Amino acid sequence: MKKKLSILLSLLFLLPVVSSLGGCSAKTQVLRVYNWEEYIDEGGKGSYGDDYLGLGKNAPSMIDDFEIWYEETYGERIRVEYSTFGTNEDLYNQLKLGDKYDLVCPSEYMIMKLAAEGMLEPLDKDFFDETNENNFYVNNVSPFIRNVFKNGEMNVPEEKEVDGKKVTEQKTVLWEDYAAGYMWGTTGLVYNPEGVSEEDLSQGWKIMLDSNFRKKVTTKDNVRDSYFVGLGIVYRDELLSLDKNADDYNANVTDIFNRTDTETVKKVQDTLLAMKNNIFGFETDTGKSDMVKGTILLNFAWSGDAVYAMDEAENQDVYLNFHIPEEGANLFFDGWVMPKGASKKEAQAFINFMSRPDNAVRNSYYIGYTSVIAGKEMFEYACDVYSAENEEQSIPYDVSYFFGEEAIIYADEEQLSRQLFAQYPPEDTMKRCAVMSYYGTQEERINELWTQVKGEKLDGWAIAVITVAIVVIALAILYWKLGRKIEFRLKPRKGYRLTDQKEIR
Amino acid sequence: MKKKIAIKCLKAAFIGLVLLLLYAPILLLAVYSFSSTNTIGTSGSFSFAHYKKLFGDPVILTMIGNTLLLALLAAILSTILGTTGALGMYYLKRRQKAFLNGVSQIPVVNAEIVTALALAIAFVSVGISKSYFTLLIGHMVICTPFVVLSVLPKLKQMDNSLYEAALDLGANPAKALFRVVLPQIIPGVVSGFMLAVTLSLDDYIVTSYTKPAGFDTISTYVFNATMKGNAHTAETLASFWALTTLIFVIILAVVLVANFSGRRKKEAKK
Repeated sequence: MKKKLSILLSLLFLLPVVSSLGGCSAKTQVLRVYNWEEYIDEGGKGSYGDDYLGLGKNAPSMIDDFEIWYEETYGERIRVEYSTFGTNEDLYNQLKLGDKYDLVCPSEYMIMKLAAEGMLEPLDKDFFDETNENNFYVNNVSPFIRNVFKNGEMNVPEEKEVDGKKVTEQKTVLWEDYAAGYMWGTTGLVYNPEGVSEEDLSQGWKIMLDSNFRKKVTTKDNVRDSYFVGLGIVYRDELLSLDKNADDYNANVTDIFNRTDTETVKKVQDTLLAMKNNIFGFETDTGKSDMVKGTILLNFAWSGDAVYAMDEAENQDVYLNFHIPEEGANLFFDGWVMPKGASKKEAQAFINFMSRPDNAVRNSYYIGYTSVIAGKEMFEYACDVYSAENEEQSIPYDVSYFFGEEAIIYADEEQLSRQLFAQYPPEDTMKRCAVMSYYGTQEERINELWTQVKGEKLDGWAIAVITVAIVVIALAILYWKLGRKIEFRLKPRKGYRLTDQKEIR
Repeated sequence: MKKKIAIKCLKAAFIGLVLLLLYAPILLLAVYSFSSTNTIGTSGSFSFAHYKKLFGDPVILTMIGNTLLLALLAAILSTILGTTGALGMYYLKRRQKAFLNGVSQIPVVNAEIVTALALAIAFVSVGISKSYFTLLIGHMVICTPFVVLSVLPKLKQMDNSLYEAALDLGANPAKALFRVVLPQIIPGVVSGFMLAVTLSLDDYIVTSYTKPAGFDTISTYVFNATMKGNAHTAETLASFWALTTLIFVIILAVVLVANFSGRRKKEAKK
């Protein structure tokens, strides 16, 4: 008996060892990719392969296809170990706790934070070699995105030797040196045109404070998006007074949306506190359904989510629009970066495979966000989705800033404020979209602001309800005690036990 | 007489209200699980689409399998560990007993995030990379104290003289343990096991900090999917309405059957 048990136990503890050995013995490279949930074409029902190519539920996932492509191209077998995270902060924690990944896909500010803490590997020079036909990223990325990545600056620590001592200094690098884009979008407002007029919209972000829309508007339950809205309200006049035709218009907008000085933080905090009383609430996931139900009329949204909300609402015969306020909006992206110690060659091959235009089409069809890729297939896909059925009533929609070379989609007029507008805002709108950097040293102060804003102060009626409840309970107890004699359960004397009374009977 | 009826009505109304508040969310999911919509609150036609998705998607089935297997394994192991632990603690001297009792309940009192982070840091510092093994350990850490907590009172209620009598009558300690002690504490062991299963099933925090890459349980998927959703996460989340409904129906059936058979036995005795 004992022997058997001990054998069993030792087997149990050996189990993980054996399984890990099993993983090592097969000689395939492993590429560990860490991405958002359902943020890649996972094949099966409802994927591009199912809906466009008729492969049904056997449509392959992008990861399977990558493994095949990699072996065909480089003659080595590779296995992708794919896992998912929920928030940028989760990703950061797991990396800090020592999880090893070759390729991760955080948002822009987290890329800057990871870079500033020296946790990233730079991309190779070869990755940008346009003559290599397998470098799909550099050959197909939209000129607009390429430009954003070429102009964006961030800091990385660099070890230097000064007088024989090792000193770590911050060095300024370009985003492009470390990151390759994946999906991008802007923030804006999804609104129901039946309850919101053009005039209402002209208030921009300030509509969050409009008492006409009291409890009819929601915003995102996270510090960055809320802080951005706050900045838009606080500096509205300054933002609107900027010269829109000036070459540095975008730089000026970006400047304002990156203010984190103490005075600004204070102002934003006051604005958000005022806003909190007017809005329906902060949401992560319920905004879309509240819009469709008509509970709210306006909803702060990421453009990819907005497209999904508009599609979903259409199924319910509700028609929603998307608006990017005059003051400006947040340009965000999720990008591929390699943590320190990554297998760089394989990771960059993965980025390139994701960037092959036909694959980018598959991914954006699956995810619903806009890809940074602008190749021929991508443009054809956009035309396929958005071209008007009736050509005579269509209007030309210029997306050449993104696709290059006079790319024009002939779309229905309603698309000027709907899905097409959300996915590919026109060039002049993009000029007022600014990337909001990582807060750096002010991060703590802004997180504190968020705690202040989110902290619950009990409303008058809540206090009333609680008081009434307590009184009712107290009265009930009193009634209970006075209304009938209570049988106290006798404590048994030491050495005696209580027996079940039923047994005695 | 009238007063009695009034009180009865009041009681029924109160219980009804409590039950309504408890089960309204589940009932809402149950209703929507038979609709074609992926968003609660919107209208949709009657359909079994969510059930089809639930049983037809291999990814979802793996997730459910992962969750159930993990819960069962963790519960079995922590029941063994917790029961033996409780037995050992019960027969310790008073001071050691008090000390161990306190220490063993730390994970109960502790915020779960602290336990999770502590586990993750412990694994990193010892150099163990995350695997199914670390996940299992993590779940045992949160489950075991509850098993101890439900077994100890049963031990205290136990009549110790029975055990002594067994020894007097020639049973060796092991036999006395399995034949005399265990039957007396088995209700505590079973309820500890059940507690462990439920704790492990719905755990997110510890799971997310100790799970190996590429491994998803229902809770980790749901958390990730609600943070950044799209059409596919919405569809998968909607199929979990069907899962919730099924679990609810199964548990309801089990409870009803148990109650019914229990009543029958009593009647038969009479």
